[in-house]
Amino acid sequence: MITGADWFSRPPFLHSMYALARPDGFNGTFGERIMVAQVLDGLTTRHGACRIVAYADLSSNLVLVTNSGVKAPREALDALCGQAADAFAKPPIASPESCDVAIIAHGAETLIYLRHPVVQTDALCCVCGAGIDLPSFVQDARDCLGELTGPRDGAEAAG
Amino acid sequence: MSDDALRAKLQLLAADADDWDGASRILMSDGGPEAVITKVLEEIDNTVLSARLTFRRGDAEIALVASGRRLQGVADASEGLPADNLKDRSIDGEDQSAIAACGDLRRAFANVSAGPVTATTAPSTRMGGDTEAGLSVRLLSEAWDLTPLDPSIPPLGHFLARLDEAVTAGMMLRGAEVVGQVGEDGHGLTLDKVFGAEADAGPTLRVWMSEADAVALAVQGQDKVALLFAPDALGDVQASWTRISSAF
Repeated sequence: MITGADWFSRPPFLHSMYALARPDGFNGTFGERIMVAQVLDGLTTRHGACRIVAYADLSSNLVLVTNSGVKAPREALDALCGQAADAFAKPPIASPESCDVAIIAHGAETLIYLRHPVVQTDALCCVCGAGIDLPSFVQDARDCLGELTGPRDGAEAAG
Repeated sequence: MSDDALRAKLQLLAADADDWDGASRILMSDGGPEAVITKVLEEIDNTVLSARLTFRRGDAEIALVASGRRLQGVADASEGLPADNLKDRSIDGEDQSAIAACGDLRRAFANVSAGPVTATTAPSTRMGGDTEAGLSVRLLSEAWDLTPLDPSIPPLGHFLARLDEAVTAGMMLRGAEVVGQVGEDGHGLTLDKVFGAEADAGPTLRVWMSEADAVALAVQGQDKVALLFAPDALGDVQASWTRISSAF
């Protein structure tokens, strides 16, 4: 298993290509990091209006892995994660705990946040253009989060 | 710069924000007739150099020739669509029968079926004589019942009114006063909860969804709209927001 220290000691190009490390270590192997980045890259490839997808931990407000084209500073990504946590803090729907998607459209930018329905600390934070096809993207992003964290019905994810 | 080089650069710029299905761009995954025709008009408005724009939805297909952000003519249409009187001839703003026929064609295409709408773009020769040939998007919008937003009505008023049939319930507040309402009665408590969500002065649209239900809060200045809707109406909510965004 790779630790945070090991990760930071790796060549910088790997950081930019595959991941942003959590200081206390992402609980995954290097191969798993790459797998996560590939899933995120797939989402941005299929939805060209989506520029940034970050796999994040809402409990610590930290981004774990992003798609590979991201050049945003780490602090900006963590701030994005903080916004996601805020968006899910008090969702005004009938059963707030079941809220798994929050969207903020403002000007030319649309922020889309998804949290796993079972492991609610696992989230995707997405920065998209106003032209994103929301119904299609939300469905696809839900599937991606399920692929990364586990099935949405909790069959494996809760463990 | 040659036409080909310019075309390549324009396509490269446009491609950054598009979804693709093979060689076709996905304009929308689903939506009502008005959303379809809005997308078609956007494509015409984005077309600077002469191009053949082929739109597909289900088995239906129409091929339009556009140039200089204007519709110049109809190159082709799939069987069953009313395009016989339009094919392979240029159209101009004086030809009212052609404008009406274009309206019939767009209505038939937009209502043909549900599902994604895709577009492909290919170089084409012009169908009109000069750069002012064809129909501008503004003229098409008016002719196709997509009239400009009435400026005497606030943008969020349009936003709510356009969702009359798509949402379960919706309400608009100006300050603390209720100035608009659509949908079913009896959802006041839910809408109050949505109005109570933290929001800046906007213009911003916020949506919260589960797999079973969805709510939204749109804010512009002192105007607020709260919506309760089924998740499958998300595309309609987005289309209505997109439609009024130009008014901000």
